[in-house]
Amino acid sequence: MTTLPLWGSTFLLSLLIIVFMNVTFAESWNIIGGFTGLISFGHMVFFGVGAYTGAMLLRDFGLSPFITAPIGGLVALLLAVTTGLPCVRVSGFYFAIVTSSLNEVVRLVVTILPWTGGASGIVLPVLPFDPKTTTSIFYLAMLIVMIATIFATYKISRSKLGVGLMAIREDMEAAKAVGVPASGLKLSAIAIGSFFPGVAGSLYSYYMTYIDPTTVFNLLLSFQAIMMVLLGGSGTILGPVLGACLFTITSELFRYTIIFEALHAIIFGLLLIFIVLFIPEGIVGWCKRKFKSKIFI
Amino acid sequence: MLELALQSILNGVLLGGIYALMAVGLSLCFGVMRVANSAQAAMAVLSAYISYWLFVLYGLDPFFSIGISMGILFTLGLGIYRSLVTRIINTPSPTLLSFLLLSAVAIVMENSMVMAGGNIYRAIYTSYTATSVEIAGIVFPIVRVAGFVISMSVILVLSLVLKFTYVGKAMRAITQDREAATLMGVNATRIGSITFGIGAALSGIAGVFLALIYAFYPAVQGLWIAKLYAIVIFGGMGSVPGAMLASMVLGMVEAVIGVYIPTMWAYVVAYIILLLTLFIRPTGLLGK
Repeated sequence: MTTLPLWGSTFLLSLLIIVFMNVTFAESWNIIGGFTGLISFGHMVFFGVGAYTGAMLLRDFGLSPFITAPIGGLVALLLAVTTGLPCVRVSGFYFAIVTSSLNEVVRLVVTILPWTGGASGIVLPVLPFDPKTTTSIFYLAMLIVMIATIFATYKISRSKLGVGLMAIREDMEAAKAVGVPASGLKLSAIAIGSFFPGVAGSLYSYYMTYIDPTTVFNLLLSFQAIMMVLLGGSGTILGPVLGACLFTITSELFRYTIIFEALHAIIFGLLLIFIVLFIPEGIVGWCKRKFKSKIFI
Repeated sequence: MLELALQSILNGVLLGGIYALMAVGLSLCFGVMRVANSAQAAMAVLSAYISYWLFVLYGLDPFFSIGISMGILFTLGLGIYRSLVTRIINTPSPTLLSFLLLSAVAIVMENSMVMAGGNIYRAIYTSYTATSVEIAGIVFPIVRVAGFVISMSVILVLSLVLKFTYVGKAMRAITQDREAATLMGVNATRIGSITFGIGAALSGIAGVFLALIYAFYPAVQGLWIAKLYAIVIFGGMGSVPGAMLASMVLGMVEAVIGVYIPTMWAYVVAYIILLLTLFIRPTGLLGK
């Protein structure tokens, strides 16, 4: 995987960048939604905030992505914790509403404020290398971020934090009665789950060299995270990876056949309805149930 | 100065009256069936399109298309409920699942409208669109006043239905204790579908007025549903008077703030109110 830049085509590398991005997105959503049960409907907002942080820091201060990516993640984390704070004491449904509204509101604010570039977005300078090298750099960067996210999820699932989160997901009152610090753990999950999309977003803005509010705060992409995780299996580690890969590859394949973006969205919506109604546990969840084997973590 | 304040308050109240229709529908669905109808705003936009095309193609005055929109949307609501919502109503968390499911429905509806007519702004302009009456220096736009009056009458009729008819009492019974109501012979599925249909019909009425007052486009449903959720949580989910009160309050806040800063910031204000409500009093103003 890591040596791919040496022999893979630029097209393959750029496709894999999107796959890695989506895996990061889905896996980080899974930390908040799958493990803790806090279904986030505006996960894209963390990505977008990271993207804008990275873009503005580059535009105004010329900082390198190695510095701005973690900062982007931190800004997203701060936003998540601030808006999540009122929600941790009430049921998960309110979190759903707060996050989806957050997506729309932040998009509006970024569109209105002049210093974020407004509706026309921000244009960034291109890296002074040839396309193959640039793509390779971002390929490796995204690969690292993705591996970090999966590793973090793995670590969480094996730790006290993870067990606490799953207890909260199953029955919050019972968990609290046993002494699980529900609010604190929920905030931790929200913090971790929002950091990684922020980092990925920063890298994305450098890679694309152009961002605007409609793209990086696209509510539909937030739903894509839900779909990818539901498809793969929420609450598992492999599930989001599988779901994201399947979804991204079919989506990219379809991109060249379906012309209308609206039709794309309709098919997506119908597919989401189908998954919610008929396979809510996802592929890995189904496998877990069917073949009681330990490999489906 | 006083005139400006009174004028803004009036604008807010008139606007709030129309939002109240959709907010009441949303709150009702939640109270009776614990279903979060994320497609509420999309239904209103659909109704706006129906009355728009009826007006443009056949010259049918929007006020007459209210009944048609109501009927179409009631049927649509029944259909969506029976085919989709009933499948998830018996799971442990119907609210979240219905939120997700109906959001997907809203996405399908919104993009179907985009495919059918394009994502451009549309509005209905009739001979009386810009007319208004001036009383004591305050301007009352005819269309908004008519919208307000009709909205309030509909909500009044709804309250009477809730109080005096069998269906209304059944709805209230299910809100209080679902199991006990079914033990008493209430058909939860039938009442649930009727409630959902009523919610859709309320959006139908609201949509006609939104077409008359605003320029609408399919994607605006995303913004509206966000504001509707803020209204309903602020007023107390499940409470009809709460939804009404919250709509008026938010309408007024929006109008008064709109005097000083651009109206887009109204959504940010609504959001802040939402967060504050969750922080201070999660059950909302009049919720249980």
